[in-house]
Amino acid sequence: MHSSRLTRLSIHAFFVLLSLAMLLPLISVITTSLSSDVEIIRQGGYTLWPTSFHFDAYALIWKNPFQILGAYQVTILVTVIGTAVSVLITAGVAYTLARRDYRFRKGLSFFLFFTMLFSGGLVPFYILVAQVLNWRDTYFALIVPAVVNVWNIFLLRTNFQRIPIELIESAKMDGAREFTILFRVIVPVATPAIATIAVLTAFAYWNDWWLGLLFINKPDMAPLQLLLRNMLSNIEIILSRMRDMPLSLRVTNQVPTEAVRMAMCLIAAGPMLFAFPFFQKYFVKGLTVGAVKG
Amino acid sequence: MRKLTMCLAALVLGTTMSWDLAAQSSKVTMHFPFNSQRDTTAVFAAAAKYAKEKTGFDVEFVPYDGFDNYNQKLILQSAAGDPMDLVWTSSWCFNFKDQIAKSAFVPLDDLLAKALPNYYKYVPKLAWDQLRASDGKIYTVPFMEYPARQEAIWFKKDLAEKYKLDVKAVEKDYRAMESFLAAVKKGEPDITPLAVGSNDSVLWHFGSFNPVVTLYNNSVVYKNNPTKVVNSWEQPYLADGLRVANKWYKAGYIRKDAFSVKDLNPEIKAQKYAVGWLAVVPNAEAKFKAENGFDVVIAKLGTPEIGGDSFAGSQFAVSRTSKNPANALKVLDLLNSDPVFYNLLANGIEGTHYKKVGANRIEKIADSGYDPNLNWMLGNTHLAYLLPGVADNFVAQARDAMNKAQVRLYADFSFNQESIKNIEAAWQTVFNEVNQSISIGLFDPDKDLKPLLEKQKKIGIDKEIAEVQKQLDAYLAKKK
Repeated sequence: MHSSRLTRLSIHAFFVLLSLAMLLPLISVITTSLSSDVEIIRQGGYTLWPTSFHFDAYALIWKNPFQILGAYQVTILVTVIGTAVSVLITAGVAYTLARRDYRFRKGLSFFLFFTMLFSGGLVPFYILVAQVLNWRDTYFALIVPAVVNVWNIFLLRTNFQRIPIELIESAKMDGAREFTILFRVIVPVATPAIATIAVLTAFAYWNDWWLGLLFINKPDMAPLQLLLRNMLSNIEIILSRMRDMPLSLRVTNQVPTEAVRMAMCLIAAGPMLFAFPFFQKYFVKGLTVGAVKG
Repeated sequence: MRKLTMCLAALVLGTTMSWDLAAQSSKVTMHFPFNSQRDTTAVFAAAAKYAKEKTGFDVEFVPYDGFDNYNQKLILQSAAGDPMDLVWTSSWCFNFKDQIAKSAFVPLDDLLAKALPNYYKYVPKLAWDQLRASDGKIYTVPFMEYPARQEAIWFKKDLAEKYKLDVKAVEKDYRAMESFLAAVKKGEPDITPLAVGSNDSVLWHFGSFNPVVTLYNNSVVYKNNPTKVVNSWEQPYLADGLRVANKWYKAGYIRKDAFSVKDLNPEIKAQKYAVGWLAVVPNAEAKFKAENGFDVVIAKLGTPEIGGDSFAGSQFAVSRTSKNPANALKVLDLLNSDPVFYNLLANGIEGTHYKKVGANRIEKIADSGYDPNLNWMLGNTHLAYLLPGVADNFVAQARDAMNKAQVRLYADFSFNQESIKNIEAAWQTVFNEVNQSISIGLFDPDKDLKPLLEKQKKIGIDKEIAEVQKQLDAYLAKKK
């Protein structure tokens, strides 16, 4: 099968444009973080290549590096531990659900599915975590509520179900117990799918600010995204409600410059940006592997 | 499995028990928005020690990083009934009226004279009266700053001189600056005459020297007929204001894409505008120059007034979950009558974070690790040590301006919106559709006002007007 030059050209053009649509904003963020606000306004807009380099924004952020380093530590810890625990539990539950010989399969499935449709609401959730369990300002509050994602369990269950039951039975014949079957038989076969879940979970933990917003108040326990979000939402409220504020608060220079905001964005997103390509081969496999075998 | 359940039960019991113990101590917690500082811990520890000596209570300061963070967290904590004592509240962040409606605060009427003796006397009676809720009770303690409110227009000084602006005429009627705007537009290609952005609606500026007083949302009364409530959108003064804005927008005095400008300040600093609005404060010209780096001429509009926003911008309330509201108020009283305590929180530790250069005057030490800009939030800014640029007699000036200012008509009228909540919500939807175009002057009243009025009728605006009228009549009857 040879596709005509024209089709090939148009496919290439399409993907070049698509790539540009994703790359240009990123480049613009980098450039803006390296410019000065006054310069941006004077030259009448943003450019792709800075007319001169200013590192003021980064200097300002790194002037008090402890907060950002602390936030990095929190986020990395939460992401690593959270992802490990989450994948373990998700795989365990998914495997149980995938076994047709498990008696409470339907009941458990429904129980899990029910939580996708209904929840207790924000205030009871808050009362449970903050008051009953007293997890405010702890790693528990950042990790535990997000450990189980029912969607991921079902995704993995579907994948496990494609593994022939004979494989499990023959392992049993050889004297393997349930945990051995899961870790030595199922997991190696389903590595791409599990890696996909791991990447999705890691992203969710890395990008989470919601749990931090609810339960974290100590500055040294704030995850990276919460810092970023607090800064941006603070700007929003200062600008939109300026008129109702006390006069002595209406100081024009309390809003960080555009460059600082963009530098903060890069610092918060950076590591994931570089880590993602290394996971990508699993990611693609994980999404297609079921279809090929199916 | 049973072991696990037991463990969980023990955990739950343990945490609740430790809570009850904490509640019995004479601890007062104080919740407020903050921007993290390097030396926060040291300063708060010193302040807590001082408060313990003076009041005997353990004060715990609970700062929250940023306003939106504070708003979200406090709404939730308040709804969940977290134990809290003093909570900061205002008209623009963690809205005090919403929280009063949800019974989140303790009524303070009986406690004020006893537990807040000094500050209760210091704050003028009219402030307390203005903050009464619609049930007639006082729930919040206001801040004291520069309560007189007056709007003004600034003009870039070099341009005002170059094009011979008549400031006196502008002070009489803002429309007199039209010829100046036209001259700037013609003579200065790099400059947009009027500084207007999406967060700085022309509706406020072009409608603010009008003959009415706003009672609620769309319900206003004319100053010369103050007993009849009317719909502001049907009044000629509003259409006139919008017409002027629309004319100036069409003439190019306002940026065509002004709605995309959220923050005007960087552009003002880059000297991209010739004219803008600001609020009158002592030494406004010098303050403007210090912030933006160029000279301005200021035209003050109308007369100074006291009303709504004068005291509501920063307040403290006592949460209904407080075990001892009187103790909380005693701490607040110390904060707002003791300069040492106040300045400890506002400016940090002497010698480390600031230098004293006079009896009452300080200079901050650069990069000292504590400069949170908290004066306005703690309450009585009249206790603050004076910073460079602030006049020696600032407090006298502020009090004098307050005494001279006119108290806005019906400033202590508090509308109870319970019965028309649905109309309020529907109006927000309708208004949001046109808000952007109104705020920059794109809205053409001759064409766009009629559809807006029809939509207003549909959502039942007349009911709102009638309800405001009813409550105003009741208010007037009580006054007599």
